[in-house]
Amino acid sequence: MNRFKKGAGIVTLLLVFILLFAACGGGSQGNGASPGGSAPAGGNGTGGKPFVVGVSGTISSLDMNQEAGILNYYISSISMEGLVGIDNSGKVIPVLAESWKDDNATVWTFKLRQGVKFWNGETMTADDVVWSIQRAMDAKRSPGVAIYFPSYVKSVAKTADDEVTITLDGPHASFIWAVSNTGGLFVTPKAWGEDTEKNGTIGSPKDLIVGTGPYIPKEFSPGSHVTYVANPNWWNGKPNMSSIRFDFFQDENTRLLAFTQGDMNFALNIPVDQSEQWAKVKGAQVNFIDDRSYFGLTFDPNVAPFNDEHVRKAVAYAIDKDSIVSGSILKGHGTAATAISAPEQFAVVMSKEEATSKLASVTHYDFDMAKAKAELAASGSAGGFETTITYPDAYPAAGQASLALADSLKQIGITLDVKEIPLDQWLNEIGNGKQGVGWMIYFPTTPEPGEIAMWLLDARGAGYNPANWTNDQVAQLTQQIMSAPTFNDQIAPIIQGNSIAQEQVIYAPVWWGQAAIAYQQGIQLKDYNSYSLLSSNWPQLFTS
Amino acid sequence: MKTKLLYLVRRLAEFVVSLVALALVIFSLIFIAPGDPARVLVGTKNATPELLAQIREKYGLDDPFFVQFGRWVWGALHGNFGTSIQSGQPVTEYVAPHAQVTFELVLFSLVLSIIFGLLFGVVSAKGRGKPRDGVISAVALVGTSAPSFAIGLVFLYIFALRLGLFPIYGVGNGTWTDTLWHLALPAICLTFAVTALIIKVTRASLLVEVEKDYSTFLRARAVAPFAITAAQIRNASAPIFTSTGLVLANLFGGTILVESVFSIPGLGNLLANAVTFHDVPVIQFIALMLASMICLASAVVDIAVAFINPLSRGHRNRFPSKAAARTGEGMAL
Repeated sequence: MNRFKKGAGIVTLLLVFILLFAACGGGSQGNGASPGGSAPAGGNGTGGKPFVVGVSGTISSLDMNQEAGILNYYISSISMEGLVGIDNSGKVIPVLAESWKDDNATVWTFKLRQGVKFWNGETMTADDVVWSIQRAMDAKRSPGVAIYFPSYVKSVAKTADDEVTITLDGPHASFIWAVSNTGGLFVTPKAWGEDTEKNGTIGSPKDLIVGTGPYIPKEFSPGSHVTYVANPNWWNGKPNMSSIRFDFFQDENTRLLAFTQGDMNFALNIPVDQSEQWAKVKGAQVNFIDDRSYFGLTFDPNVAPFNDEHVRKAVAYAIDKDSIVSGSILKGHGTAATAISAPEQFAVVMSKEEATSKLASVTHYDFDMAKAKAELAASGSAGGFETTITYPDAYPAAGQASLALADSLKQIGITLDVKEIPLDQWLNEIGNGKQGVGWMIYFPTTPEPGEIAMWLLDARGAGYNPANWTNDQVAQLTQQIMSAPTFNDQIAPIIQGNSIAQEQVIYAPVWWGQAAIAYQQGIQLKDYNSYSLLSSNWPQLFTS
Repeated sequence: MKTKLLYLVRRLAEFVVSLVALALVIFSLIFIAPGDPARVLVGTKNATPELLAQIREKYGLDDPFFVQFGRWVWGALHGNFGTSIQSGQPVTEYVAPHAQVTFELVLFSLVLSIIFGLLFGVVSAKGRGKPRDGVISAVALVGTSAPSFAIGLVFLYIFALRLGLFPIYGVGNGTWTDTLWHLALPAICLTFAVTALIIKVTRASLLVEVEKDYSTFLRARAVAPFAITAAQIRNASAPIFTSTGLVLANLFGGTILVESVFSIPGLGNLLANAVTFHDVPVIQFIALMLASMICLASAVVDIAVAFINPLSRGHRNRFPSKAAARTGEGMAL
């Protein structure tokens, strides 16, 4: 054998080594402790192996005050706590406050639970709570959650060792969500918080986060995973799982392969168009639930030709909502929307059936091409026109629905160019005063009946709502929603304001969305609904 | 010695100028790109103009371009690359763990690329016109043409899901064996996409050397084939080295898709995320770091080539005489 062949032999050996190394499973086969092990995770979170949750996307910080996307909320809700939280039905429950009273929803006095320990061993005090609220109110320190503390919050004070009082400028029933972990409050110890905030390491892999909840973050690698272990000193008893790990995926196909391999127990928000493939995984269960999300069109009445109500009506009539929902776009996984808020958003005050009935009474336009044509003919753009609609790349269904709408509009002489743009660009376009028509996509986190309505119907003018719409009557109704002393008092102005907005075709709701989850054989999930993953200690819903 | 020093100084100066120009270009592009980090932080929630203004003020987003750029340059000169808008953490601390993963992946892949590129390039050149030459060229073409995310998914399906040889995602538990195991498939995937360049350059360079008189002379003297091939490779090493520099740049570029497919928390994934969130300090830092690495690798390659083959150093720093260059004198045997 000549030396050249020996060289080739060495390379062949290298290949063989790689394959043997792979076959031996590297260094951690099957220990279940690291993301992506070749053996099934198989953990139910009780026997040493973590319960693995595969999520699409990633989080960059454990500090909700900094980053507060919907994924952050899902993950944080097993760990961080506010004065109140929600149960599995969306009802407010006491958490770090064992009780509270609100004087006409204006002066809120919270009696703090005694003996609650932070994970670092410190006992929670009123000073910690006041510091956490004041931090959350500061937009520069808490860009993610400061919106929950609008200017109507006048003061936050420790009024006794076990009492915190928050005074508002008037009644605001919705304020309760601000101090919940579905809204804007995640209580951390003051001394630790000040220290890590100063260093810029709060919520980072280095310092993680310190709170009081059932699961303690143990390891965090942005883009890879975050691991939690049970808090043995949790004030509400022993958590049912010993360890939970969230694995982050950028590619949906990889997540499906990992689920097929058995590398994860539970997958959140699987894509609707892939759900059939997920369901084919042996023993897997796929559940769809209404997730309260809103997908609809927003018209800016200051941008031509959408400054003409007939034009807006023509477009509204051309939206074939039923086909979008039941056809190939959503495949039945959604509901044709009649209003802005989904029926489940009213869960704290009424049943879904009752809410559906109320929301059906809101003025809305069903698909009717004859009426669309007539409206366009009555408009100042009777000859048709060309316009553009953009949609964020993260929501392909909005793109498909736009194309369906473009097809319909073409029949009456309107050319609608559909463009996919990056999410950040789309967010920047919302309410920028340049788009005549655009998508609004909203995922509520709180069970606040007016969460979406208080923004979309805030008709004080440019900058206050995504349509830059001005309507004094609706602006007053929105003030009524915001200053309602009870949730029940919010419903009537929401319905009335929403009706006016849709009558004037400022908004054209298209669908209320559904979310799909998948979990492996042998796992039971009880009473899963749109509030479950925001409820306190949601892992307790799983049994094996 | 003086000429060598001057050469190094010139390369270093070029490196610094390139970085400054790149910093300005990247900053300009991000500045004019549509998108508002404050709005991205808040999402579609109900943010008043006043609240958005406060967030913009914190990050100085309303300042004029040159004020923002000047502030960034001043900070960078003092080792402060700013704060990540998305995570709120110092950029260097935020990026460091991601950088480590990507450098490990790229190094792993570079080693594989050089080994397989040289091997198949030599085999291809030595078997010019034979079936093995055609097969290697065809496979290299597939590797170059196919998108790496598609290759990645096919590899995942075959080698991870079906054969169970590799893990599907992640980087493992931190031990070097586990990390190696987790990075093997993504590294092979990256290698598959870039090795074609080394194969082609090795093949072409070697074919030139095979035709030269000294090769005929060595064969006539019955020198062992391996020794002849080794001599030919040494003489063909300049373009091969240069192509390795290009491969390094391609490897860094390829990590964006490969890291996404294999869920590897590296720079590529971080950069894609930072672009989505318009996280300017992070984008700027990663881009400059990658550019520095590529510039540095390019400089190292050029210097190495210059020392291997003095002809490539340019007129002023030429070591051998023109006559020597014409005759090929000084070529390594």
